Amino acid sequence: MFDFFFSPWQASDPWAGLTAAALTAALLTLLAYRLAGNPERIRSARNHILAHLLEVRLYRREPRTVLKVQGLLLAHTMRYLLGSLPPLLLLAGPLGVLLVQLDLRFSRLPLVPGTAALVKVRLESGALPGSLDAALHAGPGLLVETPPLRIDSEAEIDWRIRAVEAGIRTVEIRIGSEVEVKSVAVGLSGIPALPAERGKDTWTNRLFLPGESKLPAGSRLRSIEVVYPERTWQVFGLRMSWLSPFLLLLLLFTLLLRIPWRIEL
Amino acid sequence: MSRLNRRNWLGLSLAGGMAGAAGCRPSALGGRSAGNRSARKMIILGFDGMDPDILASLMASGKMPAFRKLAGEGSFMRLATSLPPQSPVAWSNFITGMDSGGHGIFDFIHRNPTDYSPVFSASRVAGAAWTLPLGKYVLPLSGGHAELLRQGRAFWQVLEDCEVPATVVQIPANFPPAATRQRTLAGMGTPDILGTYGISHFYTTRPEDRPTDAGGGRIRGVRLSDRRIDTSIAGPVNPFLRQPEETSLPLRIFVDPVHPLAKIVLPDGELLLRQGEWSPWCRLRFPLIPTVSVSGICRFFLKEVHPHFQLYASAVHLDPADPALPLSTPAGYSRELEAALGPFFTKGLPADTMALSSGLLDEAQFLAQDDQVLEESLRLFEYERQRFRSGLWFHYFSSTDQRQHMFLRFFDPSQPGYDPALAARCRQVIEDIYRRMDQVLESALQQADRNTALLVLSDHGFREFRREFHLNSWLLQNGYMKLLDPRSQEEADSLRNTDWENTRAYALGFNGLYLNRRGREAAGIVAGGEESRELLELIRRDLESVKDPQTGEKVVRRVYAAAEAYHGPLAGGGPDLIVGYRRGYRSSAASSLGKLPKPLFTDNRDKWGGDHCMDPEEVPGILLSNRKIASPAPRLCDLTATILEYFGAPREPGMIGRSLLEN
Repeated sequence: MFDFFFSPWQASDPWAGLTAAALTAALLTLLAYRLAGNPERIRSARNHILAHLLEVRLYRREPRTVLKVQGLLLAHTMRYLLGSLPPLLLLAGPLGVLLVQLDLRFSRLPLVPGTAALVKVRLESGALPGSLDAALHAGPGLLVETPPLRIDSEAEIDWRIRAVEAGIRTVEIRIGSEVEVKSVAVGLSGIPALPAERGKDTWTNRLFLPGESKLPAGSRLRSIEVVYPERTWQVFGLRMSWLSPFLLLLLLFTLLLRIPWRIEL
Repeated sequence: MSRLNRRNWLGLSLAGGMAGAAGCRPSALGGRSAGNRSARKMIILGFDGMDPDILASLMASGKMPAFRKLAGEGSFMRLATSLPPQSPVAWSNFITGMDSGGHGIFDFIHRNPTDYSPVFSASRVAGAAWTLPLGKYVLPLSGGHAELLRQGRAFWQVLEDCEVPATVVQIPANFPPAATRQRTLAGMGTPDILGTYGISHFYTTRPEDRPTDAGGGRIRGVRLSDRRIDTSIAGPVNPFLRQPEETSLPLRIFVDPVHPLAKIVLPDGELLLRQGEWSPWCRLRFPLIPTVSVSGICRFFLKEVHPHFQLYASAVHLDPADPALPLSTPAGYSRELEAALGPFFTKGLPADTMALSSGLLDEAQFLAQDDQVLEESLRLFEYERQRFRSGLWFHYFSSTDQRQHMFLRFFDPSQPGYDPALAARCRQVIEDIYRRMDQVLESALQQADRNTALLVLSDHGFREFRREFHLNSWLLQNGYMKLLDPRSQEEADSLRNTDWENTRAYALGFNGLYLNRRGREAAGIVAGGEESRELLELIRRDLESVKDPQTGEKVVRRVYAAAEAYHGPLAGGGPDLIVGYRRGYRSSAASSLGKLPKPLFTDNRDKWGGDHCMDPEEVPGILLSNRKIASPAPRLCDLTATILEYFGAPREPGMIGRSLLEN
């Protein structure tokens, strides 16, 4: 579904996809407020908050009044939050799924041909990588550059691979008799989904590690991770993760669209 | 609209009014119009230390076709270097068209006359003048700053007045970059993140095998426990603390039990290295206070894993994507280059010659490091070459200088410590770097159309450096200097043991000799006028007659009096005499920093076996041009006048050079 959603922006600048996602999230937010919000309570609480803020300014030389108003401000803020709670609860699920999917696409970059990356295999606790027979085989378009580095204290085995040709590539990891596969994205343009980690079939992994099949329940491997380069976003000359510009755009769209739709926030 | 187009548009729209106001005029070369002038272009390649004799020999043997072609089209001459022939001085001459009396750079090292301490000559970094103490923190109320100590206007600033665009990449003696709208990137003189000229780290499980002070390297003894090492890498001093202390970042290393392989874990990433491999640039962010950090980049080299762990970490360079000190003009230029080309070195003279001298790196490892420097220089070169359309473009390469310093010893069997087997492996290095520069020149020739003047220059040449002369020790032995405690002559550095009330002369820097002048130095005793003139003459005569007892050769070719050699208002602020050594000799590093070893001469057993801090006549630079050079004896400062005249820009007051191009 999300691949379909992002397909129109695959060929354009990643900012277009992020803007579309923020606009969608803003529409979802407004829809949630329309369906589940209590506009009377929200409006009343907001007006009270505004009035009390003015009161603080007017009576700033009367500490007792200011103190009393602070209490009222707190009470009306609670009323405001309670009024917003049903739409926020309604929104939590879809927005959570959306954020995970956005992170899958906007937080990392595919490997550039010629660059190196780490492949990290974490084993179930108690396993000693030094005592295991471990090997990594790279499919076409990838090279394995190092033997395994085994870290018993972390139950981890690492390799370094190098991207050679663009495409969805694979590495095959063999630990003893067990063989598992992990995809590696090389040289893809646009905003492809980049599942960095393949984990076991747990509900948290289903939620937070979408995009690839899960490791079997009885596997000695806890996870396989490809360390992709971080995708940074330039905003006014500052580099940041995707979340900050997304939230800014979400806020902007929500505030702009609430006016024609007459939705109380 | 691209940056270049915008600049051109600005140039066209403002040329008339601004140029007239700034005194810009059509070039005297044939009375060309302003319109013709704007079509003129100039490419200047600066190959630090390229030597005319080596170049001529390679050209004669047909190994430098591009140089040969250029010399055939125009001119190939020896270029008189600066006095003394040191890069900061020479490039300052070129930048300003003045000598040290005008721009105020006399040596790599100057002295502070108030306490006789050695200081870097080219720049100064100062903290905030106004601060607010807050618990253990200090909040700056005004900004700290880096200050370029070179005086005089740079030629690209003068060109800016005439709306001639210029791109100047990594020219030495321009840190922090002089204020301009032109694109400039700082070069030699740019410090590392610690504010030094380059401090590396060397992590070893056998620190006892290494000297505690390995040149510019900090030796860190580490312990391998459960195949893991926990250590740190040093960052800048935190100016936000009342008791300033060095910042650091944790560095965790995992080692494979069998394979020669290690994983380096940094706060912002991790990498896997095999023994003998260099890492790519790693970004390090040193936190100062919450929300404020300083960003740097460094490379690691895994020298050995088993049985003894050894890891080299280069000096941490300022991050071109987020520089903590000014690196470029406009400020975004270094960010633009980083975005286009990836991280690149920013510290001046980035190849770690001290690591080679102290054995932290061997010859092959040093060359691998300098190859990375060269590749990055070439990427910068190619990037600028492809977008060069108008005005002036200057591009600098340091590898010619660094490799000659470290590999010229292999051409000289009389060099102390000469190793014929190693020489057989390393003799080709210098020829190889000259030939790489020939390829660079070939690219530039392809770029140069008939409207483009192409200049190739070096700031000085090179000679072998066999014997060190301890100038301060000589001053002591000849009664010009006295010590407070003669028994601890060799112990104190920076002239701390000097009895200033009875000292008439002292030396600091590689060629400079100062009188202890009354009214100038804090405890000066030598009066001006006749007394100082007589003393200068006496020292000059004595120095010029010094002979090396081992060879019987004279050591000093000529001693120059600053008052006669320099022009400009700053001539009196530098050394009073400049010692021009004969080839094979140089002031010792110890003496240049104010130490007094007991012998007058020692063999130079350092791997730094080539040098140029000699007499200017010994180490001229090169000048090639696709135009005929009019002068039989061109100088660096003449090039500045040439550039300005070529673009019809006015000469700056104080400039002493003359244009070299034939009318």
